[in-house]
Amino acid sequence: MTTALEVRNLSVEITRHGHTIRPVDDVSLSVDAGDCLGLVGESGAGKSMTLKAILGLLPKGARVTSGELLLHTAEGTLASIDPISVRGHGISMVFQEPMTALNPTRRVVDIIADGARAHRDMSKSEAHETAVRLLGEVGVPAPERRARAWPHQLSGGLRQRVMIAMALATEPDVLLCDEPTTALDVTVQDQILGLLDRIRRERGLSIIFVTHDLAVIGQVAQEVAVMYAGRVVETGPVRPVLDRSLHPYTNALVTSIPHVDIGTDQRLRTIEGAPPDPANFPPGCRFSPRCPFAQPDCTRAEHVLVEQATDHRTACIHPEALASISVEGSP
Amino acid sequence: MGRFGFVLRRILGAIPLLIGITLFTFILLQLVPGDPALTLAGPRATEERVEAIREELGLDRSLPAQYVAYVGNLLQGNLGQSIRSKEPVTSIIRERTPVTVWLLGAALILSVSIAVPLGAHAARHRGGWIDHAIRVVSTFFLTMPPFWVGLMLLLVFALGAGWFPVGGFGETTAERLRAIALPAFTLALWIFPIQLQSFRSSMIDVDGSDYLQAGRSIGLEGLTLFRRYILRNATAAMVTLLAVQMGFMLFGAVIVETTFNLNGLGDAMVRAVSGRDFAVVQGITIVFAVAVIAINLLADVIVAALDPRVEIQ
Ligand SMILES: Nc1ncnc2c1ncn2[C@@H]1O[C@H](COP(=O)(O)OP(=O)(O)OP(=O)(O)O)[C@@H](O)[C@H]1O
Ligand SMILES: [Mg+2]
Repeated sequence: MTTALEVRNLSVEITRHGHTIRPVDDVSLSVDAGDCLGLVGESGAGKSMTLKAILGLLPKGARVTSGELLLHTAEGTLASIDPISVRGHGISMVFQEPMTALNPTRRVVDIIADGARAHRDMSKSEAHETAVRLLGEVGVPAPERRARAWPHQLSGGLRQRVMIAMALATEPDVLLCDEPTTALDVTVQDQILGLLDRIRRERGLSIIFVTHDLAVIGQVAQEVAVMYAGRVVETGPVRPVLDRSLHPYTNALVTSIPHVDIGTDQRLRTIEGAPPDPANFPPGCRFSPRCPFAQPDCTRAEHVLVEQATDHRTACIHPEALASISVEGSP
Repeated sequence: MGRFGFVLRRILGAIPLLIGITLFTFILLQLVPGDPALTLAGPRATEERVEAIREELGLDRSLPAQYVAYVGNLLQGNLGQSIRSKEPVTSIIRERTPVTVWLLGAALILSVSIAVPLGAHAARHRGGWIDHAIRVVSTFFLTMPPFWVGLMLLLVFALGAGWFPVGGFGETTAERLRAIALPAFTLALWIFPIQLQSFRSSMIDVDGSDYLQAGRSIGLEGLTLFRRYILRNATAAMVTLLAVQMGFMLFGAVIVETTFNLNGLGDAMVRAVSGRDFAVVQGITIVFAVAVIAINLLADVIVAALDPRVEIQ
């Protein structure tokens, strides 16, 4: 498998009122060509920040303090690139809120055509045709008519399709999706997931899919990276990570997925406590204060991802504690 | 329903407002103490002379009859005549309107040219010292009364440096621009602070918006990003504000025209009020009211054209 995109040792710092926090701390990710990498974690884990750093879209005050971005080139090698240069050329992004991520004063067709023309020189009418064709491809009914619409005239699901068409217009190799279905209701959510999966296969696109919902990861991703408090704590192929988690945090996430077969008397388990504030990350393993398997040495643990099974890495220094309990059948 | 229907309905909708304004100006002048006929006739006039004037002005009739006669004349484009100069009010208005239009137009252009770049700059450096400095300066001008600012400008640049005439208008465009410069600048200094704060917050909204990030994410930048993603989104609020400010600007024109001895509508208004020339006061009030209504209507049309979310219905 060739690697489409690799993020190496990315750190993001934010300085505000003299205090510096590091919401993304030494994060490395890689996604293979044509694959979908799921990036999961609770709110505040630094998922969006990681994606934004890849495109150089960090908010005011935030900056990348270390890290390297490598993109697969036409020559077949990985080349280090600058985030701003990949906008419109290689990487594009689908945002979480379709209600606010489309320019309200621009027609749908122009929004998409902008992307096509940003990617390569083409005439207005050519860009227009491309936009209408893309609207059809992402499943917008009556694309010629809908092309003339303003964003506010469309439903949330249609807007997200337009957003996807906008991202595809730049003919990216890698699509970054930041919780693209969180704002949608469940049936529409399924349709959008299906659409993303289809365009990934048809176009040989690589996707990094951010979500806090492991059930969604199981649906769309081949690989997964679990983030906690600014760090990646577990990575690997989807099934092993979900079925035989090697990190108590992943395990806790897995057991909190609502299953249809959970009896009414069995309360849905959620993770005890709240994720830590980036201004106040605990020492050692950052999950240790909430971890049911924590040992005294966890607070001194160095953060290293160790391969425990094929391609399956964990930062937990006591993965054997988890292995001793059966994950399966204990929701 | 198209734009034409929208405009038509808004114009029809303005009719009750106009009726209200005629009633208001009519009643207001009834409340002004003193008898215009007595004032006009002078202290040594005979009883008969005063009666004759009263009859001439229609002041002997009942109030409703006076009002109906007034509105009837108005509908025929007859605003009555000045009791001072005997000139028809319409010709006074026609003569004086250009000065006020020049003044307000120049003030508007000047104020926007101060507010937009400074507002954009403050937004870009929000929270920084530049932002604070701009806020302090604009608040200072907001609290300065325009007659005082006008007087200072007059002292320094007209009387002192002699760069501008001390008063009066002109014939050629160049003369007029020179004559209008200081009064327009005075007005602009008075109204730009609110425009600046409004534009600053619009720019901050756009800057923090998801759609701008999305625009950037596909590789839009520089002028293209500004034209397609920022301009329209940041200006709609400004257009509405400018229309609202028109009312203030007319009030400002009254002050500034007096300060700079410009023979505009504001100046005519002041003279008419102090001379109890109520036909002129009523006439100018109505012109002001119609202007404000028309400009607000125009602003609504522009905003609807700028922002598709504003439904024209
Ligand atoms: N503009 C900002 N200024 C300061 N801190 C910020 C800013 N944006 C985000 N943060 C902090 O950075 C951390 C990571 O935020 P991020 O948005 O990446 O989280 P996330 O994993 O995407 O969460 P969510 O699921 O809620 O989207 C959070 O703790 C957040 O409080
Ligand atoms: Mg997020």
